[in-house]
Amino acid sequence: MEKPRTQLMLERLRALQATAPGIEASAVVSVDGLIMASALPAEVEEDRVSAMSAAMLSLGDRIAGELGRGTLQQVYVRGENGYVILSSIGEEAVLTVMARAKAKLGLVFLDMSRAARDLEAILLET
Amino acid sequence: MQTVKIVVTGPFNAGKTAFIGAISEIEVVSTERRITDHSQSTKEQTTVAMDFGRITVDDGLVLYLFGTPGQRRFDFMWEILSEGMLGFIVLVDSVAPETFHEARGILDLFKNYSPACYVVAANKQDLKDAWPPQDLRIALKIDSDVKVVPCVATDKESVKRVLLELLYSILETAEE
Ligand SMILES: Nc1nc2c(ncn2[C@@H]2O[C@H](COP(=O)(O)OP(=O)(O)OP(=O)(O)O)[C@@H](O)[C@H]2O)c(=O)[nH]1
Ligand SMILES: [Mg+2]
Repeated sequence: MEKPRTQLMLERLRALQATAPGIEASAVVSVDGLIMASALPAEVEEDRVSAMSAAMLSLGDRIAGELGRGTLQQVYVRGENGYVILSSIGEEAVLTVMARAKAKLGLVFLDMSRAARDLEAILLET
Repeated sequence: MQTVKIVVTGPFNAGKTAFIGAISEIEVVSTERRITDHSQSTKEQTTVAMDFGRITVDDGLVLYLFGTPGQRRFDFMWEILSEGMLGFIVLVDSVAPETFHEARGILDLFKNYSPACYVVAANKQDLKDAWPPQDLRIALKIDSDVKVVPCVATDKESVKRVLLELLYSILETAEE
């Protein structure tokens, strides 16, 4: 029997967090800001995070275009306690990742782009 | 030259993006994204961060127009966009009475953010089932000293009239 889309995406998110030790939490959000799959801690308000992810990605997309940087690949936010990194999953969704301050960013980026590719395939196939 | 920041807000689907698109002299910075939950609406796209447009009134005055998203989950943008505004417009979809309560709620929030001047625009007056502005005033319990202006957001002249009404209100308050 085929697994439902949410389940497949959730498994992929968990695999991402297992391979990249710097990643603490992750979620897949639709481009209009609704949660599609979430591996976020319980205290995080999913609905707000998903809306903010969509808003931020859309602005990043506009500014990259406006300043001649081409299609947006990633938005990256650095706070005192770590990172929030957003990247698009095809045209339909956003991958949101929270990483520790000590995370190795190169690895995080690499694992994220792999995950984004797989998640795009899941979205296309299911 | 003086620049004035004006925010265009209101519930989902009220016509905020259309309003700014009709009047802006620059290509609007928009953040429209495909609606994925179609139980909510028949339209294709919704604003997820903001709209931004600009209109020069005369040599001395330029308006910066910021449109908000309408859906509640984007309310964090409402407060961000309201910073530094001199006035705001609450657009109401006059054919959607089920959104009037939300419109009133948004109005109260924006009044809370800032003491800026505002007008209510009774949008989509071109549709035959549109509530007239005076009925909308009653339904939304709008104070008698606040203007409720008829509006067709897809029509540039109509949008211009709404903006002028807001500017007059701002000037009147400044003189008081
Ligand atoms: N007939 C008519 N249609 C309008 C008018 N203003 C807006 N519309 C339509 O109403 C729909 C919603 O317009 P938008 O500009 O996307 O509304 P919005 O307030 O920006 O919506 P969100 O950003 O999703 O909250 C679109 O299909 C518009 O074409 C109007 O004055 N008359
Ligand atoms: Mg809009």
